Amino acid sequence: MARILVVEDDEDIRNVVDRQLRKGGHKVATADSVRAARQLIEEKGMPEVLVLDVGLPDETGLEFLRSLRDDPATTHLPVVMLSARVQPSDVQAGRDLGAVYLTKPFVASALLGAIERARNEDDAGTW
Amino acid sequence: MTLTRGSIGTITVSTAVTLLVLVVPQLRFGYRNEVLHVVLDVAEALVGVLAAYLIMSRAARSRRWSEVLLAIGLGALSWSNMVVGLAGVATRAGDSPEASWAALFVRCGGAVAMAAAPFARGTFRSRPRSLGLFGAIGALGLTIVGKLAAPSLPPLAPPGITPTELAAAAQHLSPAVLAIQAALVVCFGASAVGFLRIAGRTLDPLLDWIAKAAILAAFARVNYLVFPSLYTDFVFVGDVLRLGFWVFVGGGAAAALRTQRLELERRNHQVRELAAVQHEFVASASHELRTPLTSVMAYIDEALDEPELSDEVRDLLTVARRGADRLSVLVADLLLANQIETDALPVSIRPVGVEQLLSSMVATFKPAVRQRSLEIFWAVDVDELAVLADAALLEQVLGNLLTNALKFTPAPGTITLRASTDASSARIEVKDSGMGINRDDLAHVFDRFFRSSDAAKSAIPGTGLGLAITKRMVEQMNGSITVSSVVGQGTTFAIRLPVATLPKAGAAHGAHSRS
Repeated sequence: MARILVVEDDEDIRNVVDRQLRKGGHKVATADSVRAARQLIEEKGMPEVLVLDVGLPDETGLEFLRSLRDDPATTHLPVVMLSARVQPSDVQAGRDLGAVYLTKPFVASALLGAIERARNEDDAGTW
Repeated sequence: MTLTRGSIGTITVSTAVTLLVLVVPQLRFGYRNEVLHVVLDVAEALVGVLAAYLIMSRAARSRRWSEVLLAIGLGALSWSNMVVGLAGVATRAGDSPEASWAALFVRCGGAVAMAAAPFARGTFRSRPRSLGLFGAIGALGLTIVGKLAAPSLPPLAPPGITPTELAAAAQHLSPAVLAIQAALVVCFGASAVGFLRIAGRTLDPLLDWIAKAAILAAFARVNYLVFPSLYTDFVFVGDVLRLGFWVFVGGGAAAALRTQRLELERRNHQVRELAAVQHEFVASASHELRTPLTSVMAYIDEALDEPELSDEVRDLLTVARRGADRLSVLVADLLLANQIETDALPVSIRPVGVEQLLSSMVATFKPAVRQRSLEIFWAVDVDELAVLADAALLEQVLGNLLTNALKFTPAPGTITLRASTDASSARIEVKDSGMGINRDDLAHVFDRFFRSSDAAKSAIPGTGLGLAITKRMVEQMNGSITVSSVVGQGTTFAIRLPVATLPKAGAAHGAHSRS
């Protein structure tokens, strides 16, 4: 069980991810943009896991993640990136920033597995 | 008629050269150096053959009568030079009367073709090679006729004649020879006028050069014709102009080559641009399809997850989910095919142990094989065989081939994976005892989006991309893939890859056969 923040601009996908994660026993908050996500973090504090879309309207997920990594408080935050971008270079860019990269389309079990992997990888500090 | 500036220049220079020698008729160059003459004749002949070949290959594309006649004409003219040149070599004394007459006959044929060329309209259907052959036969025929007729004709230029003797002989040139020279002037003149007209209209650099060359040829003949009393001087001037003719023909050929190269470059550039646009489109389409596909799959999964679902609705949703799965494979395949084509797929070639690979592939596929009541066998004919490949890519290649074998093999049947080596490469084959591929389809199995007629008939699902991708992947690993098949008996796909380590000699055949 973890507190998870989902940042995804596509409403349908945001809702279904929310649903899948709740079913997996997690506590979920959602945001549709990086700005909304920052606001939510300010109000409710840092989540335990961040699920982040890459193509967002105001700022790309990668840029947001980079700014989080620059902050000592969130250097080790477990992050799962969701993206329709599946080129090896895109995947590598996400991995280089210490995220578990999940390509769309994905199934619920893969998402939950990715969450676990992100948390474990963080414990091991392998990224 | 449009005169280009270059053509006017050519006429001016030709006239100036002629007049210069007219004004200074006493100039003596000790001309008729036979060795020089022979060298020039042969060099001109070579330029002519090359030009004729280039123009003929252009005619093969444009199929214009004018170009084919031009090529034949130039071919005949260069052959006439060859005849004289070779005769000069043979007699070691310059022109022989027989060769001179033979050459003149051929030259007349060539000049007629040159004159007809710019006025020939339309295109031809027959193969240009056979037309070229007719031209060659014609030139050869004229050579033989000229050679046979020579004894009964007045001498043109007896061998070993001194300039003074030649000048004296020229006083008595027969009317027949003069008539021939006059006809040649007319032919080359007509050719020049015709080609100038076309070149002025089409701005075709080749035809412009040819027109200038024809002007020079006409002037050369004027020199031979008009001033027989000053024969030696004007033989010289005529020869210089004739040499100029071949230089211009060579220039035309070079210009034609250049145009052709530029055109080819332009087209290549276009094709590359088009391919880039297509690849970009496929990449972005594959990308854009993923987001809605995610929704479709996830929401169907959520619905299927509901406990209170009637069996009927569950069945309906399961079918929808299967469709979404296929769509997802197609989207992934499209992108993969695209990446492989743009070389965007990173490949790391390392030694890959074949035995481990095959055993793990068989283990992965065993459940699916059993489910279809089939059997799977594998064998590595040599110990410790390793190939140079990208492990992940090779796994995907074998996975694709095994999936295909599964799809096209009805129970009861077998699938066999076998690895062997010869001197330089390893061979991994995936063999099934399935329905086979008919001969017509076999040639196309590696084409993109190709689906065999049998697969379509039997409603076996597929995108027609799998084997195209597989082939590209194998090629990316410096390998090759082939297929053989007998309808009703089965299909064998064989991959060849470079061997990483030399297999140990004397390994027991089939030592690792397992099922």
